[in-house]
Amino acid sequence: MDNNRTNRFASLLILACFFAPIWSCGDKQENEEERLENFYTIEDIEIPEEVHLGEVGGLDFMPNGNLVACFHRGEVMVYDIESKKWQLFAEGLHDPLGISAISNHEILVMQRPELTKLSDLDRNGTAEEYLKVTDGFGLSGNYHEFAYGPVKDAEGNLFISLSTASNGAGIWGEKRGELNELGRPGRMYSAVPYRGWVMKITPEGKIEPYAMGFRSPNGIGFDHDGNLFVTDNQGDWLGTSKMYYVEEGKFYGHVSSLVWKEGWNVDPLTLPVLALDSMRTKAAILFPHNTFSNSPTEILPIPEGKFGPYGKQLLVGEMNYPKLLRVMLEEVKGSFQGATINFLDSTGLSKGNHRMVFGPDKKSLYVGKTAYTWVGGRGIQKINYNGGTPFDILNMNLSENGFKLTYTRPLAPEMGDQPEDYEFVRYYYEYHRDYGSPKMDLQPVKVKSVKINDERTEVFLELEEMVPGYIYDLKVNSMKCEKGLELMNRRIYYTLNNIL
Amino acid sequence: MYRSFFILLFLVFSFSFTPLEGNSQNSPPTETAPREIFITSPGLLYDVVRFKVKPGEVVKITLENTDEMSHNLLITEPGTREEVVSLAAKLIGQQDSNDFVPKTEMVLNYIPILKPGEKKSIMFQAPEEEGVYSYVCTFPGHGSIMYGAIYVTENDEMPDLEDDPNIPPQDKQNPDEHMAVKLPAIYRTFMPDSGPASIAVGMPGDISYCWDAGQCRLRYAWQGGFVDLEKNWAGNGNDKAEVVGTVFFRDETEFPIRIGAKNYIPKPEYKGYRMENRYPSFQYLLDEIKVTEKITPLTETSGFKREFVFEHLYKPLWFFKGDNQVEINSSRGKWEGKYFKLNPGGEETRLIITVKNG
Repeated sequence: MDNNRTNRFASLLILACFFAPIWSCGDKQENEEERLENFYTIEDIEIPEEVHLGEVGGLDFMPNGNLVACFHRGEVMVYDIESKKWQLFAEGLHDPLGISAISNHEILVMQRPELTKLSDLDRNGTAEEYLKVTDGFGLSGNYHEFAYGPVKDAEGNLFISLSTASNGAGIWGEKRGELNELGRPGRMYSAVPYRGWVMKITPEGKIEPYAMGFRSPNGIGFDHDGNLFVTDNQGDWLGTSKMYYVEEGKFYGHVSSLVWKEGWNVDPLTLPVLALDSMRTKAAILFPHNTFSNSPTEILPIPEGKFGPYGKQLLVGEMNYPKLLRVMLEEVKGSFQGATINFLDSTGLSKGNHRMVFGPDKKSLYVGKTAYTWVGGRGIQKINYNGGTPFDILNMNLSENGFKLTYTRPLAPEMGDQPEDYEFVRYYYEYHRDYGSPKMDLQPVKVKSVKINDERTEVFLELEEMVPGYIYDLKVNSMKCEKGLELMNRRIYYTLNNIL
Repeated sequence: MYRSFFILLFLVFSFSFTPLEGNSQNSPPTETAPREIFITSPGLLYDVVRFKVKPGEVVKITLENTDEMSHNLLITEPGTREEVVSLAAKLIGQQDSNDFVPKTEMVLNYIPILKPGEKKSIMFQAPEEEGVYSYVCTFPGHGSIMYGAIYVTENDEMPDLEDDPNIPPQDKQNPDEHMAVKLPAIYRTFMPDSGPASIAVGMPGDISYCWDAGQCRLRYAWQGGFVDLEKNWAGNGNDKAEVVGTVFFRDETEFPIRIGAKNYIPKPEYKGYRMENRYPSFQYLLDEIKVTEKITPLTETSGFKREFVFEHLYKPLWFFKGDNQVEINSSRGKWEGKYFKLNPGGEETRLIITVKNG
C-alpha cells in the first residue's frame, strides 16, 4: 500500500521534472509555480585529485568564507567557493572525523588519537604547527574507537564524542591509557578510558568526562538554544538509532562505558537489564531502523528564514540512504521529544551524508559524504535553496489526546480532513544486550476525529489511545495544497516519551 | 566417476579484502556429504565472489556475517540480480520480518538477514540448466555492490577474475599511482610494533621512522621505502600500515632518557610538532623539561640524526642507548657504559645523536 503510494509519488516527481507546469494545476502564475517546484537544487562540488577517496570527515567555514574539509586519508583542504579552487592546508592526520575553524589560519581537527590545533603561522595557506589540544582519552588500537566533534558552546567549552570498540577486532598489547577488564566483554566495548563518553574540554584545555552510555555517537551538535544533542547508531543496547539530549553526568544506555564512571566496580553486563534500564535517560528522538534511517550522523540547526520554512529545526545526516532527516522537537513535562521526517528524499542527493555546514549566506547547505567500507558515498554536494515554500508537514506536536499537524501551506479543499487520511501504528524497541530489536507490540491506532483550522494549515488528530514509551508512526494520505502541490513527505515518526 | 575435491583459491588483491573463489576439481571427498561454500561478509562485500557447481549438484552454502551491518544472501536466476534488488528495495518500510526477500520466482533460495556475528547455512541444489546465477545481498543499499556469481556448468571454464562481468568490479592497484608521496612525508596511523598513537615519517634517502606520540619516543627506523597505507585507507582503519624496507634501528629500552638520576624515567607528555621544510620537529615534556626533537637523514652515509633541545635543564641527563649503535659528539658529556651522561646547560641544552645504517 505504502509502496504504491511512494511509487506514484516518485513518478510524479520525475514527471514534474520534465513537465514542470503540470503542478501549477491551472494556476495562471506559471512562472511562480515552476520556481516552486525546484525549491532545492543539488550540485556536486569537485574534489581535488589528490584526495583519492574523497571521503569527508568534517566540514566548516572559515570567517573569510572559505570552506574547510578534512578527508579520510588525513588531508585538510581549503576551498574558495568563489574561485572554486582547493588548497592543501594540512596532511598526515589519522582518520580525522571532525573539524572546526577558529580563524582564517587556525583549525581544530578531531583525529583518532587527539584533538589537534592546526596553525598557519606564516599565513602562506599551509599549517606549520600541529599542536595537541587534548589526548586525554584511551586508545586500545581497536579500529572502531572513532572520535567525533568538536562543537563549541557559548562559554567556549568544546565537546567531543568517543566511540566504543568493536568485538569484530581485538585490542593491542600496547595501549594508550589504563586497561579496565570490566569494560572488555560485550559486542561493543570500552576497555580504555572514556570510550562511549561525551567529553568536555574547557577553554583552558582541561578535559573532563561529561556524559556516558554511547555506542558510536557519530553526530554531536547544538540546537539554536544551545542544547547539546548526540546521535547514536542501532546495535547492541540500541534497538534502533537515536538522538539524545545530553546533560552532564547522565547515562544514555550503552552499558560498557559505565566502567569509567567514578567508583564503578562491576562488569555492567552482569547487572539485570531492568536495573540498567532504570538508570538510563531515554532518547528524545528514535529513528526507526530500515523503515527510516540506518545510520544517523551530524546534527545541524536550520537557520531561520534562509533555508525554507524549517527554521530552528534540526537536520541530521544519514549515511545509508540518499536523504537527510529533519527533526522537530518540543519540551513535554520537562524533557525533549518530537518527530522526525525525511528531508530531500530522492531528489538527487546521494548517499553517505556524513557532515554538514551552511554556507556563509545560509541559503546553501554543504554535505560531505563518507562510506568507511559501509553503505555511503564520496565527495561533497551543495544544496541550494531557491526560495518559496514547499508543501510539507512543518511540525507535529503533542496535543491533549492526539497530535497537531502543521502544514507549510493550506490544504486543498476536502483534502486531509478525514480520519481515513491518517493511518497510525505504534510500536517500541526493546532495550537489551542483543543487536537491534524488532518492532515490539506493533498495533494500529485508530484516528477518532480530525479537526482543521480555518486557514486549513493545522490539523488536530484525536487518537483512540496515547501510550507513552511508543513511537507513533504516521502515514498520511496523498494530498495537495490549495496551489496544487503534492505533499512532499507522507511518513512521520513521533517519539512519545511523555503524554500531556 | 570421481567428483571434485574442493579447494579455495586465494587471490590476493591490493585492497582490504581477499576475494575468494570456490573452485572444483574432479573427485568427491565422499559420496554423501555435499561440499560447503563458506562465505563471510568483511564489509560491504562477500569474501567469496564466485564459485562453480555442476548442474543438479547439491552444495551447502554458509554465510557468516563478519560485518557491523546486517546482510542476507539471495540466489537469483541468471540476469535477474538487479531486478530482484529493486524489488527488494520496495519492501523498505514494511515489517522487518520480510528479510528483504521479494516474492518472485527469480529468487531460487536465500539466507535470511543475519545480524553481525550470526551464521546460517542452506542446502542448495543447482538448477539443471547451465548458466551464470547470482547471489546478492538485498539489504537496502547493498545490492549494487555486494554480490557474487554461481557458475552452473559441466566444464571448468570461467573468465579471468579481472574480466568477469558477473562479479563486482575488483579494485585494482595502479603501481604507478601507488603512494606517490613527496618525501619527506608524515602520516599519523596505526603502526606495527608501536603504540596506537604513532607517527610514520618518510625521508629522502629511503630512511623512514616510527615515532610514538603516546610514549614520546622514537620506536624504530628502517631503510628501503616508506609505508604502505592502502589497506588501512581502503578499509575502515583496522589494518596497520605496512613497513616497506628493513628495520635497522629499534629502541627496546624502557625509556631512553633519564633525568636527575640514571634510573629515573621522567613522565612524558606529548605536545605536538612543528613542520620545518616538511620535517616535523616534535615537542614534548619530560617532567617539566620542554624537549624538541628533530630527525633528519644523514647526507654522507645512510642513517639519520636526532637533534634534541632541552629547555631549562638544570640536572644531569642520561641517554640510554640499549643495544643500539649510536654516536654522540658532545663536549658537554661522556659515555658511562651504555649511558651517555649530559651535563645540564641551563636555558638550552643541545644533544645530537647519530645512527648509521650498517
